[in-house]
Parts: sequence; C-alpha cells; structure tokens
Amino acid sequence: MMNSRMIEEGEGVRAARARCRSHWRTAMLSILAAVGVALIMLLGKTGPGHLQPIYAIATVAAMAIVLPLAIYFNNRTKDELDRLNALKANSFGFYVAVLGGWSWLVLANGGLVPPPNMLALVLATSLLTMARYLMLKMGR
Amino acid sequence: MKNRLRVLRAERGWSQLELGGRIGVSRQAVNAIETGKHDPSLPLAFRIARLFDLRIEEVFDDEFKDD
Repeated sequence: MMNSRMIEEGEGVRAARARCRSHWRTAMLSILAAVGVALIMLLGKTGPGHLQPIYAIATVAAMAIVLPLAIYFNNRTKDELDRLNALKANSFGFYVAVLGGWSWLVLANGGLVPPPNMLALVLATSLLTMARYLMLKMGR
Repeated sequence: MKNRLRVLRAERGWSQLELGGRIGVSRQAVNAIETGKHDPSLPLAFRIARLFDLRIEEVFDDEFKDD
C-alpha cells in the first residue's frame, strides 16, 4: 500500500536530494579553494597593498587554476534553467562593468568624479551580478 | 509554451521535486516549465516525453502549428 511518505521519498526525490548534496559539496569545495588562495596572498603580505613577488605570482596562478575549475564543477551540478540564469546574470554583469567603467572614466576625464578605482568596479560588478542571479533564481 | 506537465505529474501523484529528480532538473525548473516561464531544451523535452511514454507534441503545445 502506498502512503504519502512513499510518494515523497520516491526515486526522483532521492535523485534530487543527491543532486542537491553534490551541488553544496561543490560549492563548499569552491569556498575552501577561495580561502586557500586568500591564505597564499596573506602569507606574502609585507605591508598594506604590498605582496612579495613570488606570492603575487603564486596567488595569480592559484586563481587561474581554482576559478575555471570551480566554474566548471559548479556548472556540472546546475540544471539548464540555473545555467541560463547564470548566463543572464553574467551578461548583466558584463554590461555593468563596461557601462560603469567607461562612464566613470569619461566622467573622471570631465573632472566630475575621482579617477576610476579598479577594486571598486570589480566589487560592484561582482555584487550586482550575484544580486541579479539571486533575483533570477527567485523568478524575478 | 503551454504544456500538460502539471496534469501528467498529478496523474502519477508526483511532487515537483520527484519529477525534477527523475528528469535531472530542480524543483524550480519543473515549476518554471509547468507555468510556461521556461521552455525546456530539446534534450530535456525528449526526456520528459520519454518518462511519460508520450511523444513531445503530446506533452507540449506547438503554438506555431498553423503558421
């Protein structure tokens, strides 16, 4: 006899939960890898805004390996709707970076604002891209 | 795109999570397809049709049929 618990715990639900676990595992590994990259950078710090050259190279090399791998494995755990949302959010981020960067530069050339700050632009682009992705995930 | 996914799912007593697990997508994706907010890719549409033992056009409405 089939009860509601059996319907709820069917093979599809088990597969969905396994997918979800795999997604979170990948996300946690990506976060750990990012922490590792940050630690390499912190180890080589000699002062505010200064890094020993070897640590600067090691940080960039670690990022160049970790970032594509994290994107690749995260994409593997996403379904097509989630991949589409990520693509839309990335396009939005691209427009923010291009439009924001050029506008800031032109306004700075006109003496209206301070010169562009790369870190501020990268942070704003990253945050707005993530915000757009979360909005799309919530169906907005 | 209109489709009969919600009806077919209900006939089997499956939740959106259950159906999602069987076709390899999230519950949110099933909901988006059912409400017509997301048109599935051709491979996913085939997977759905195969799961219900139907042809694609028996699950999804061809809205450009008369064009």
